[in-house]
Amino acid sequence: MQMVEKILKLFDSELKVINVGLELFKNDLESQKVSVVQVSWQPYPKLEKEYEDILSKIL
Amino acid sequence: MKTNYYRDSLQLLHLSEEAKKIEGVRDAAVVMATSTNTELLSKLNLLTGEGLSASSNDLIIAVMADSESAIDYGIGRIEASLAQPPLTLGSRFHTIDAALRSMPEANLAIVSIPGDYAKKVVTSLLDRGLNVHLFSDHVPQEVELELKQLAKAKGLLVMGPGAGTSIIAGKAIAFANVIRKGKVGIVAAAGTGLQEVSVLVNDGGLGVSQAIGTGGGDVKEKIGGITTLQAIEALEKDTATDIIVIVTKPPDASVRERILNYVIHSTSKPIITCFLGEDGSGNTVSNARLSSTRTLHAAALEILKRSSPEGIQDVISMSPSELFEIVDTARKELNGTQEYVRGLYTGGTLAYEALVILRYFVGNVYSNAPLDSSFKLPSSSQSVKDSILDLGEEEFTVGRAHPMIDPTIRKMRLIEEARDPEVSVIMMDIMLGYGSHPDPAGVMCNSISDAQRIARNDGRVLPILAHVCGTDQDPQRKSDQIGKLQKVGVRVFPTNALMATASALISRRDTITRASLNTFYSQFLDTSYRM
Repeated sequence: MQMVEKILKLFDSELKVINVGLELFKNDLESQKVSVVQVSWQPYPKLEKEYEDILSKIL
Repeated sequence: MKTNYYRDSLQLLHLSEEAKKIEGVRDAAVVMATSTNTELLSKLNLLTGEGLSASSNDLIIAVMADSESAIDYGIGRIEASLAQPPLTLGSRFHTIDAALRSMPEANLAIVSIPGDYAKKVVTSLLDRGLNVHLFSDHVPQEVELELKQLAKAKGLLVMGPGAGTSIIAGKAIAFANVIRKGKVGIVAAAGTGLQEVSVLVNDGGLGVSQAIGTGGGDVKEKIGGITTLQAIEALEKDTATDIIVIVTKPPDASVRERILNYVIHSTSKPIITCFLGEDGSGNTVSNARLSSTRTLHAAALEILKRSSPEGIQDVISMSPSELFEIVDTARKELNGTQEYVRGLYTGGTLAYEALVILRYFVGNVYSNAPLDSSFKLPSSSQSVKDSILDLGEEEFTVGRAHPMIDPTIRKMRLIEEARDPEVSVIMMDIMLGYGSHPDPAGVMCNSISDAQRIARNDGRVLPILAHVCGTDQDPQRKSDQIGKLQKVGVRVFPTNALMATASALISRRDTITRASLNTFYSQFLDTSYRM
């Protein structure tokens, strides 16, 4: 038996959305009267990502 | 050229459009220097030596203008726009935790960042108790598995990666249409499949409770249908859902078995499967509650028949005789050289449905995303015989906005296809809804007229077919979009399957008989059709 209570709660709730990435989706949800907050995301520099990948394997 | 400079494809599309309006500028493009984009710049004569050396992490500003000073002015204006943060009304945060402090009751996150970076972001969202709609493509399969296992352990949904659309709690997420609330629950590993079925259900007078996009990778063996099974279980328990439809390209065999066993042994509601192209004859389990359909059209019709009064399904259906009548003029006007169908699709599942239908009438056809790998187009930029293009595939979209938003590539391709004297018919999908272009039919009309003129000047008539996937409640309004297409002579069909069938009837005008069309109807469009 899987747990689906949280999913059913999502179906029945008013949506409250965190949008990470394309602002188009934020604007579209707002025009449907959904509350949205935007996380502005930028890729970190490539070298930094490589270090991070190595670190995430070590830690 | 700006090295190591990232802006997302939608910001750049907007900047490119604005740049074209600058005084003295004849053409302009602001793009990440992916191979797709540099190839396009080259076709538009916008690629210079400096651009050739750029890598996909670099940004190219290309301006064609009447004078050096106009070029400098144009580039200056574009650089100034790039330096400004995009206009946003309301709240904007730089970290998920800061956003959550502002909205602690958040219950869903939408993630649309380059796929390489999705793991860390989605993990932290799941750890904070949020369901996730993961729009990003190019997420490695092992990361998808890890994220879905984590979500399942927490009782949360990860819709995606590559989930183009969902309808949750009555709201359209990403590329979704405005659909009436109702009793039909949809689980789909096929984005435009979800859109088409939900739109046809809406056309038939019914509505949707929830529509959950799982991402195409969910039905692969390695992922095992984790999200699909969670979604079916949730819809089974959801009191607002009376009937469940599962839409996907054919799942891997083990996943098909898992899904079918689950719905037969663990659900009680009517279930309709649309594993595109498959008729269910290979199913090792069966049940009277379970209907297997081969097309999106047939799935929608089955839902309407099971749920609504007699006759309502006529809204989306069209008899073989009606179809013959519609294509009759086109068939008579063609000349002897015009043999082949060309499909210019923005919706991948709709392209796939067309391939399934054409396979019945003409055998396998070429595509950049074919049913049989031996029919893969040698080059996506050149059609061969009958060809169906999915313009949303990677080779057309890396570093570019999806063709549902940016029509540039389809417009250019339509003109190229019109020049080919062997083409007998061109068909295309017009996708409406949130996320899509604000006027997807209108923006194609000039190119449609140009294509017809090119054919006419060459002594040919070129029939162009369209299916508008959307509703009158969508921001673009379906009836307006249909009107614009009809005004330039496009034949518009109520379903993608009927459009693809019509394209076969036009191109194979001498070989398809009424009897074979009737057989096709009973197998692919309407299982209760009686000849």
